[in-house]
Amino acid sequence: MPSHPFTRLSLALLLAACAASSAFASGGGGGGGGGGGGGGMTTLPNGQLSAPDPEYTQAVSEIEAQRFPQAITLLESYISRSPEHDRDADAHNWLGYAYRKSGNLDAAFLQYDKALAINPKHRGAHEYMGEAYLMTGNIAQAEEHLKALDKLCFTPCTEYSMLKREVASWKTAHGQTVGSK
Amino acid sequence: MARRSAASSRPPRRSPAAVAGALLAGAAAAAVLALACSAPAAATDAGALAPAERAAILALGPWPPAAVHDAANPASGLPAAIALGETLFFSPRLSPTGLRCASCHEPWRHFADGRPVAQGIAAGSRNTPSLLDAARHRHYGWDGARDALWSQSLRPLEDAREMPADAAHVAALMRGDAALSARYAAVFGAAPSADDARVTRDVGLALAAYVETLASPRAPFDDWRDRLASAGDGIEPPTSDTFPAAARRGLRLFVGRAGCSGCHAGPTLGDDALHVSRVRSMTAAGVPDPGHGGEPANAFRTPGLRDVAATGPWLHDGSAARLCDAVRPHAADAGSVPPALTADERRDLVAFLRTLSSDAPEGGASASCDDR
Repeated sequence: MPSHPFTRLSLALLLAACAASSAFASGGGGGGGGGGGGGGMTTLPNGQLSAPDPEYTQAVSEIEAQRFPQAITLLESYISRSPEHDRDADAHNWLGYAYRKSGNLDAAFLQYDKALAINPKHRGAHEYMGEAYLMTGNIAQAEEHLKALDKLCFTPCTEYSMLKREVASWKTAHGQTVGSK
Repeated sequence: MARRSAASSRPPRRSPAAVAGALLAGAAAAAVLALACSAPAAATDAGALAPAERAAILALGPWPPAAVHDAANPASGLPAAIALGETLFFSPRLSPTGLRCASCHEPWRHFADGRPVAQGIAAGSRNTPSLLDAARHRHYGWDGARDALWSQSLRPLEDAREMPADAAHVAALMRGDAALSARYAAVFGAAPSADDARVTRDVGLALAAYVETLASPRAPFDDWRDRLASAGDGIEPPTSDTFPAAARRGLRLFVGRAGCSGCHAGPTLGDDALHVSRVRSMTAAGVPDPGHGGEPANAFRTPGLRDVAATGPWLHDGSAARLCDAVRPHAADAGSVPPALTADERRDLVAFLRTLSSDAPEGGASASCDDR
């Protein structure tokens, strides 16, 4: 039986990912974690981070230009190239974003879940997962991720503010009372 | 990729009575084992492991064991089926409610949900179990009502409180989505038919094929246990930061005087059988939760304990906010089997349980066992 990616997470990798702060703040709110590798970078033998991978960098550029099919192709290729890339929470989060913007929510949710499995504190993935749930009309689950962001953001953070605004907009549009928080 | 026909090898479904019989037989055996194991080996913290203790500890591994496949599931182990099941598991389209299997079995929460009780479209009355190691179960659900993972995989769709979806909805999804239909055909040998029940059954087979791949990682206990296995008789590995002296004391209690391994047995640390719980809980409707529903009353399936520190709240009703609170009712009745434990002993047991997780969190799973 093939080992599932979720089963291959080692303690060291989880700790490295969880310990990371939001040092790599991708454009569009996609970052919020994934250091110690991640963000298109890998850890070199000397402990330093490599330069961002060209394929990853190009994929982010394609997302910023809203060319999502091209971004999906690049990110799928980047992730499949090495086990370390497959543990890049930022890459999975961006891939989820590109799938979501392409209308493929099945694939988007899967990628966000992979990002969070690698780094449960990935703020960008929590924000995007919440927004994906809003697209399915599931306000309760969206608010779960807003709560998670509230705990993760000791100081005001973009991911919390963005999702909070989206939740409020959804409630207004659906005739629900918007809370004070 | 090899294709298999599901039509000629439909999984057998045992009757509820047969399931109950098997479970209670297991319960009886486990009760005997519990009594045997609770006959203490007079262990002390400083003393060397007795041969019986050593054997009992080694029986909690090795981990991970060899992969298992469900011979009754023709999709089991097929890469295309696993991939299809994964897609469906994370899809918001499987249920018309938009709820996903992963909404409650969240990968970043060890495939549980972190809530006291399940929250689908309505609140449930039982804690959401982790799906890790589900392939190794023989019975499913806190009530042990299902005996096949593929059947259990469809249960949330059948439950009006969880992510209800009837067979017509599930089958329409598989027939109406060209990509899903093609992937279904690649696994089951033909495109989704007009038989809604059969298509839904196949969805359960694919979901189970995916869930089978979810396994707990190795934990600090496994390293210590494997070193014990490779050491000669009378030689014991030292404790360490990852397997501290408190965990060793807790382990000796676990396999000895506390009698835990009578039910929490084997490499998964769970015997999968029904045991009467000391915790009595209520359903969302305000009536006592009957557990399995037959005799003995208030019997629930004993879960495995791997990764337990990371999957709180605990117990079948999620009433234990701290891991120590989950230990307490199992050892609360003086003179019973197992005997009452002191706060220090409960703390040691929790220290051992924490070594069953590769990344035991602080907080609710901390070793605090102060009375409150």
